[in-house]
Amino acid sequence: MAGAGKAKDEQAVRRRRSPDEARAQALVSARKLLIAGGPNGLTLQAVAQDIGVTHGTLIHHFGSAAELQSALMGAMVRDLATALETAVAHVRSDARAPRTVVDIVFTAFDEGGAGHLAAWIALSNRYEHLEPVREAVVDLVAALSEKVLTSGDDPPRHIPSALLLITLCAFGDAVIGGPLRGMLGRDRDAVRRLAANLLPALIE
Amino acid sequence: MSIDGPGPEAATKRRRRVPEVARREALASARRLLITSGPTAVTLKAVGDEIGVTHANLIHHFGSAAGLQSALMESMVRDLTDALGAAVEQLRSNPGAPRALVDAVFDAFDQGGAGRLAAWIALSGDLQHLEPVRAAVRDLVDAICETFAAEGEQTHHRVTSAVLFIALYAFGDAVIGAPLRDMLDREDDAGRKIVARLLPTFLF
Repeated sequence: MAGAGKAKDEQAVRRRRSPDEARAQALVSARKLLIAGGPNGLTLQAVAQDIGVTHGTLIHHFGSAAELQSALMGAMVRDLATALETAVAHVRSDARAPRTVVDIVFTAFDEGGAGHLAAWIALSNRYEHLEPVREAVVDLVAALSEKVLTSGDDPPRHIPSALLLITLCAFGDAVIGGPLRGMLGRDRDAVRRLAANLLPALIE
Repeated sequence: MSIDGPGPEAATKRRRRVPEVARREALASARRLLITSGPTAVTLKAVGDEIGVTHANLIHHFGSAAGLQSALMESMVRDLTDALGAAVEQLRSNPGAPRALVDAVFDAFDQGGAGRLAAWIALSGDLQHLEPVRAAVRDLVDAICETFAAEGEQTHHRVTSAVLFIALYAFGDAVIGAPLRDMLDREDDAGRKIVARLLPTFLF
């Protein structure tokens, strides 16, 4: 497997990529590095080595490590929008839909690494590069509002509040949930259940 | 606090301190550093410089920087337990007014710096030293259960659910709340309002 990987790497080094393709590939690599080694392993250097481009190429595409992290966070929010589509459409009609929504968001923050990445960005105080994240969040709210609107009659004015609730719970659970749940003697699922129970009250 | 008068700074530096006083001074200094400059500034060196003791002396008291951070987190949880006493009492007589309790927790995580400190401890992956925090959290839960003057599995379950929910939410709000609320076009106290509204649903 190591040999095959190496051959593939060498091939990747030589192939020319279109700018979009190179950018997309860098984000895939960044996500892989984030999940494997946490946010401090997510450097331009590590991504460049992984996909076989120069550091300069990545600077050209992203500007800096902070902007790469922000682009990755934005990409994760966009994936979340896609993943949530079906569940959100049924959130008012199907009693199990709130739990599905919660699971999708919590998984993205926990196993997907979005929680640790967000904490990392926050602790390094790099708020000036958050524009890609903002755009993705605004699009997410618009998409979800449309979905909920088609399944109910009222204007979906509670969507941002519901998103705030689920996101902050998912973020908290991903970053400090493990030790805190342990201290309180609660199981791994406890916060997901709470969030799923609270969600309907917020979007009524 | 009343054991030893404050005294001028220079005198403090030369004075020999009993271990308990030295420890408390170190924690007060660590907390100041956390609030003014964030968790990365809470180092043994910075604390040693500020209160005029040697690095070795601090190692003796806390073991390591991680030990100091954990001790600081513990003292914050204990302060929170004291601050919550009155708020929980108030909530018991008036279940419609949980805002004081919510504010106490959110302030500790936000202005008090507990949120960023917890994120820092989690990201550094050094969770070996959290035993003092665990004991403080258990005492907090016991104190709340006692205020409710009710025993049994169910009370304990409700209280741990409430603590889990408020703590994770206040943590999330302190660390990523500002940019997220801005993206979602929510006002500054949107998170506090949501929690205050939902809290009674699982405490009563």
